[in-house]
Amino acid sequence: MKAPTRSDLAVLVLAALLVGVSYAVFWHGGEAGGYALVRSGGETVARFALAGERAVEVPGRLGPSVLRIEPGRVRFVASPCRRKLCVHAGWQAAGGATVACLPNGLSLEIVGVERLYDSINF
Amino acid sequence: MTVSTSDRLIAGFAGLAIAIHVLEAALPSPLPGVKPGLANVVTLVVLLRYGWVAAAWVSGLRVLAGSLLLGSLLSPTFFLSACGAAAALLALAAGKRLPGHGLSAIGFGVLAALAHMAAQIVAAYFLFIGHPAILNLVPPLMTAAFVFGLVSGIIASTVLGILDRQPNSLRAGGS
Repeated sequence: MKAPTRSDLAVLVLAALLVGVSYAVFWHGGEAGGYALVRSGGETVARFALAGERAVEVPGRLGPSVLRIEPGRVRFVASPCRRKLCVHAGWQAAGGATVACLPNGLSLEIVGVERLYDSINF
Repeated sequence: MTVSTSDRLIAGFAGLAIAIHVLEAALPSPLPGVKPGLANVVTLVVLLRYGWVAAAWVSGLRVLAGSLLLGSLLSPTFFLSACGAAAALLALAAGKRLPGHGLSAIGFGVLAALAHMAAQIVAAYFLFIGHPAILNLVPPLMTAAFVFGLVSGIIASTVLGILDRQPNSLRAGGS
């Protein structure tokens, strides 16, 4: 076997770095990597990773609803609807958890986390 | 139509690569997509002895004939394989243009393996499974590609060393 050249070593170091960076980019936060899917009229209109702390606005039928995102959980904090059932539903963290705001035509579902149940009937 | 020496060389090496490709398909894999890729040792040896064009022929013939033998022609596996091989060849072409002393089989092996894997993941994501969960597979798959690329490179380097010691081994002109 020939000894590796200096360029070989450079390629090896860069490649190892790239692989290391891929862990940082794709495996951030381990299992807290769930997503909140927002649907409007049956269409998925937005997708938010449940990481970091921020507030986002989602346009609905009556106006924008505001979601608050924290690592691993999400909730409605403001909505133009009358009874604010979506806001009162509070924080959601479980896989499959769903909050709907019927007046505003929005629904929020947590995906990508292990589901606690297959479905719920009321 | 006449058969030139380089045609014979390419056919011979492609045959070798196809045999390794088919044998490797029989190995069980711990994770979908993880495969030693030892057929690329042949591509590396051909690249460093006979140049990029010959290596591209050997690699292309391997993907085509290998998929014919395994019955995966035009199936998703075939497209992933073809995308990977094409990306690996592009990476090898880029590696040839690197300044300095140039790469040996080890550098080429790692470059090709990473390009191969990256292209396959991108192709799988956009053509077949557009689910974000597939991105979680990127780190382990890239790690496997790095390790197997390194191993292929070391094997190819050893093979090249042995071939260079043969007094009357064939060498195509240029590189």
